[in-house]
Amino acid sequence: MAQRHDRRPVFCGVDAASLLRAVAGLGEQGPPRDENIRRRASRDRGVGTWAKSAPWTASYAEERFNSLDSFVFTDGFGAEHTVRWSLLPTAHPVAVSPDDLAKRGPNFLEQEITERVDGGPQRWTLVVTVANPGDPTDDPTKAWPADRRAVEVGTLTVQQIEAERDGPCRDINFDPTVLPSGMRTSDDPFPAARSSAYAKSYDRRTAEENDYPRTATGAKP
Amino acid sequence: MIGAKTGGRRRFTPLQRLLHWLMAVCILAMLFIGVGMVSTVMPKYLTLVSIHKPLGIAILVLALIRLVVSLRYGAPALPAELPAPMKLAAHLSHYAFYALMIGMPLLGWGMLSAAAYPVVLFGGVHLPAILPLSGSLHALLWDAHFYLAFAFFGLILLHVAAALFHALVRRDGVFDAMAPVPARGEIAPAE
Repeated sequence: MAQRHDRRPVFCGVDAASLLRAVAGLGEQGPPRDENIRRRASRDRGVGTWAKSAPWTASYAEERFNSLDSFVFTDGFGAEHTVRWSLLPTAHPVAVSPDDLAKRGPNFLEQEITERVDGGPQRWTLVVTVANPGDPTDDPTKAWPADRRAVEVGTLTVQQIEAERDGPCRDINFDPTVLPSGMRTSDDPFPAARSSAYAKSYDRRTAEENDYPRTATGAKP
Repeated sequence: MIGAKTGGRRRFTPLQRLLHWLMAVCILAMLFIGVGMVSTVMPKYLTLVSIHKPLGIAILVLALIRLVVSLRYGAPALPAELPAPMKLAAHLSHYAFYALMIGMPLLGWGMLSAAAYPVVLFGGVHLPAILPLSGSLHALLWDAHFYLAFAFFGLILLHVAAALFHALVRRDGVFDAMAPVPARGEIAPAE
């Protein structure tokens, strides 16, 4: 549930109808079947308008990524803090209009970041935003007030990009609850849901491993 | 039932009975935790998984101890009048029990290893991987772990049915051999 921009409205489509509606920016249209969907759809409203007016860049290296989900980090004194993490670009963002983006190829972001990393390592600064007591740590759709303390905790350096097809990341399940010591899940229920669902999907995916199209050069047993 | 030595005992040794009933509780809990775990996406999923892994390793350790104890002390002889097919079923079911008690934790451990998941026990202790990263191996072991768990549950139901049959219908002392406390009215055998 990483998010590419801090001002992107968050939708949390627990049911398919509200997810589709949110993606289509149709918060107020359509006949909501019940009050629950109506409420959820109204919360999701804004994605469509945001997508039309948001500042776009033409590179992953110029984008900010946000965890949305909260996690509990333990500091050097043993005290626990509920945080959300962000990766802030060190490359200077250059705004590109949606019209210009429409002229590019369908995979230009992948091509661009590969070329950029070939030219030199790319870096993002890892920042954690610390919740105050009472902040909605259990709901990734709810923003925390903008004045929360932010702590710079590290740097992500990308030195090499490998294609997924035969790369070392393909056969790994990226389970958001597998965390190093000092970090653990919070009261946010989504990482657990993802862990459970990913374990099942990973099983189904690996069961069909032999049918995966591979390139001849990087073929693995 | 594994091991030929009986020492002429009518009951299993206290250590064997302790291991049996301790493992019975652990394994039953384990089966229900497993079914609950794969049936939910709620936060309790993480809690159940974090119990399932260390409990599985605990069962593996207990099963290995029990195997050694069983080879050392054997089992009381089945009643001579027990029909041969029932004796055979009793022996085979116990081989199946040991295979599952030792095999299931190893399948689970191997399955996690093949997916390069960390195997974390209580207190943050990490177990090493016992298999290399392999998607097809993971899928195979996952299926084996999943379906054998139901087979294990079926075996336990048969085991309980047989135990009750011995205790309530045949009343031949087979149940008392593993009962946690001696049946009332039982007279200690003369030395």
